[in-house]
Amino acid sequence: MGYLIAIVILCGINIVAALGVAILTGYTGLFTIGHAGFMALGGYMSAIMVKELNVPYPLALLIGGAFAGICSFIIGYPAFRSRLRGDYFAIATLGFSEAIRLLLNNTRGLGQSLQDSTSSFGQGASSLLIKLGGAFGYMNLPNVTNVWVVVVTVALAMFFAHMYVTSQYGKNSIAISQDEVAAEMMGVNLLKTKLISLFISAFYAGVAGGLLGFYFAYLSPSLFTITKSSDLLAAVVFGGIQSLIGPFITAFVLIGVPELLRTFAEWRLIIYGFLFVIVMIFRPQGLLGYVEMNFSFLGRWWNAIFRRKHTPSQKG
Amino acid sequence: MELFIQQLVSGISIGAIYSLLAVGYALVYSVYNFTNWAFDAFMAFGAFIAFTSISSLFLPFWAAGAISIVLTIILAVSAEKLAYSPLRARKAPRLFMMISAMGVNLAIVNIINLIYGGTFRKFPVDALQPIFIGNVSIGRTDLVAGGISFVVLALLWAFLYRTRWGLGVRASSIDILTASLMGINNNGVAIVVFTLTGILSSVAGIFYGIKYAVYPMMGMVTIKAMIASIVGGLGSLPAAIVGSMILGILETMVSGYISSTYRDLFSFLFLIVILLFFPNGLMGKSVEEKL
Amino acid sequence: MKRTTLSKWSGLIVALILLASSLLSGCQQEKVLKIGFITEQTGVDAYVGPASVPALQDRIDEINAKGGIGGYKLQLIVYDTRSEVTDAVAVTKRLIDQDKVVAIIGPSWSAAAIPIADIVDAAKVPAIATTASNVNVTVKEDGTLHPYMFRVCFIDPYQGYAQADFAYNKLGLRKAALLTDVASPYTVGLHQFFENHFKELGGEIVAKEGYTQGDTEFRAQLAKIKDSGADLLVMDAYTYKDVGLAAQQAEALGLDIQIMAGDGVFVPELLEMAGPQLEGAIVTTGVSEESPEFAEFNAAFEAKHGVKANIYTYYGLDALMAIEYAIGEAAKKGPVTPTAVRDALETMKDVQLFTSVVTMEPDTHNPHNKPLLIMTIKNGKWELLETFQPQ
Repeated sequence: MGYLIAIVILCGINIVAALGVAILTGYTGLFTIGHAGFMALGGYMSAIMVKELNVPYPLALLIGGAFAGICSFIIGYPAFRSRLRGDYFAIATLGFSEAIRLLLNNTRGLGQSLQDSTSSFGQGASSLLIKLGGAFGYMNLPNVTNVWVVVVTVALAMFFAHMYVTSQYGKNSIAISQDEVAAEMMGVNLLKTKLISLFISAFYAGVAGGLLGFYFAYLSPSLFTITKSSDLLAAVVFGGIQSLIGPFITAFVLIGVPELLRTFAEWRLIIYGFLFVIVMIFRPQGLLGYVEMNFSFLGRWWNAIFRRKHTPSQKG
Repeated sequence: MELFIQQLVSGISIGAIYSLLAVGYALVYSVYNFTNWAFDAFMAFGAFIAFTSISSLFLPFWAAGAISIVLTIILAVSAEKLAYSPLRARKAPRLFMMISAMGVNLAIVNIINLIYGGTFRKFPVDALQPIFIGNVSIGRTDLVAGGISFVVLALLWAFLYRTRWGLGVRASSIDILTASLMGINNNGVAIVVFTLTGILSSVAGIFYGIKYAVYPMMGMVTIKAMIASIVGGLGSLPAAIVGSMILGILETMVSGYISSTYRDLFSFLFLIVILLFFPNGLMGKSVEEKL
Repeated sequence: MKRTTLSKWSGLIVALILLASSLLSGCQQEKVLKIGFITEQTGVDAYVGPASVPALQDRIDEINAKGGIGGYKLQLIVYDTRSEVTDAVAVTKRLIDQDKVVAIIGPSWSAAAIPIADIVDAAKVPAIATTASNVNVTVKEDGTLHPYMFRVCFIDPYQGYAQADFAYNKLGLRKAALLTDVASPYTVGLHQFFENHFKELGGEIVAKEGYTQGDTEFRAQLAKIKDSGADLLVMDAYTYKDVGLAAQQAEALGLDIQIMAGDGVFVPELLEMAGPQLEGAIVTTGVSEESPEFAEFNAAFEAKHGVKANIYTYYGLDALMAIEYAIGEAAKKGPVTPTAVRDALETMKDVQLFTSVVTMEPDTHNPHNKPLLIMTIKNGKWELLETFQPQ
């Protein structure tokens, strides 16, 4: 039972982060391979909030998310301002997450070098940086993430993601992902829309990072590698670009199934790779198709079954 | 001063490796406007084919290199035929191309890992002794590698600018639709571009293998080549070379005079600064989305 | 005379009762204890798992063929970590909750072993880390013990101390340069302890350079080290590739320097990669595959599985043999539960494991006074210089 709960928790955390990637990559068309960096930022920030400043846990998660969101502007602003191509942005996200990992790996060394500083701020910064532990990891965090917290967070995350993608901003994002120039001609503010989308996306990743830290009771830079980023991307691609329920289900399938079938470990990434290509060529709508979280299909069925006469035929 | 010159020499040698890779990206990018994320997998593939030819089949170096180039060309062209061209034919968003390329990359790298395991292997050729000028060492491997890279890049240039096929590739890189209307065989151009990619990645893989080691994840270095090509300006071959040299020298200078620990942080900050002030790269063409 | 017959008879009766009860219970023909093994079969450290899993499985088969331990058969359950901490944690939970293992072997690196220590404490299932040498794996930062976490290798402070001692006193070197993988707690920790002791002795650290996991280019750092006038390069990398490449590049730069590395790189692949360049280098380790007592094992292992045994094989076997011992002890006292195994591990004294005779320190859960071998590379082969025994 405990193991199943562990899987549910890990899946839930991945779903939150994958929803972030879905908003950015799926809905806004911005390719990211560095979301692990935002997870790390959010995770460390919320851990500092709880452990050093005794901020309540749910609030700390939000602060962590907001911090990741704000940091995302560091790459978002320069990249979007000059309307860089998706490729540039993708490389920038990768560089960003590696830079974050490098910094986190060195917090201890940085702290030790600040130790001799005379100002009280320097002293405080030094002791905090040493506590973060660099490559050793940030240890003895409160172990407060449980399955209920995760379920509630996932539900809220789904709800707000749904709200966003159906809002005007969400529609603008979709317009950008379809055709940037046309969207701009229709009066969409590209920079603003992309930055909002990136902020929300990083926010989700940051919250997921916080959940992860409080689940392991430990954070270390080695938790947030490129593998993590590509797992998240896989969940979005297989689930269906421009779908929320798709990544929700595939995050479960991608984390849960390999967990249950660990023997295929060596084959897992090979299968991922082939599936990436196959999905893009044959089913770009994702393995599940355009399943979306609305209930309009009930209405369509109703129409199809009871009001067939009134439904205009597709062929006109 | 000696230290400075030594760092400069190392920087140029690192830059030379980056440029061989960066040109591979730039070539595909200039024609198809997408980053071939599978390039690093082609590179590892080329290196492992050459490695196996020498260590298991006991072939001489030139034969191993030839086999590696031929097989890598076949791999690159099949990737194009199977994973990229169906998407292009459908005019799929560029995002789909990138994901598809990522898929090719994941699959190839992990198949290599499955077959060979994750160990680091020494490329089975004898290392060349470095030349010393004063106390400054210049690697003979670097010189040979640099020389061959130069020849490959010169041949590439000659091909693009002195042959009819090259003209086709260049025409396609300006406007692929118009080029095809003018009677240029798009299919042929694709095969030519990916043949060149195969050659470049195989050569890059073998050099990287000789200089460092042969292992499935050896393509990780291509992240640096991508940063270099952004710094120079994506899609232009000379820009890729210039960007690579700048990045290589910057890295060694940062390591030498500021901090080797934070070297990659500086590379990244440099990228951000370039994006802020030179959005098209230092010498790239306009990178705004095409209509 | 009479007593023996009596005990024989009673033994037979017990056996019959056991047989009857097992037949009655039907499905439960024999008692099986599951032992979990967490290892790296894929990812950056994929050379660890393939050299260990077959060895452990062979050993388990051997034990079962002989009838098991204390009436129990053993079963090995292996999970891959993909060399990722998240996966290592997930499989630990799986071993505990789903497979209900009696003990866990692994993981091999500290970054994963530290979060796992909390999990095994909470679940009350003992785990033996194989090569995770960070102090905080078995003892928390505040000095309290992780009651269920053990290890069979020595710890970083000890190895760092021994390296500094040997470099200063035996090699007579005074100016050391450190080249540190800043992403590896193993390297960072070892270098910290090396630096402390080396300075204590009166040595000087003239250069401190860094790189990050996965780097292949060290010439910039090495040129700086050459410029600093150091006579010793300490590079306790976690991956042998780093040391191999640094040695090649040092030679190319004309940097003639004594290289010293830790047990993380003590694998045969290092010699294949940079044998000539590493001639004369010092590598400290807890165990050596060159030791004549392993020659027979190595040959048989390679012939059977097509993989070379390395230190991860030996440490894995060490951990398995410690568990075997603990199960045997626990079985003498009553039913074998994870807690009983833990208690037996904690009080382990002078037990012959695969590599050496080990006594577990009850207050740290580290092997007591595990000897450290100081090896050098001569004519492309490992050679033992001396055995370092702590005072």
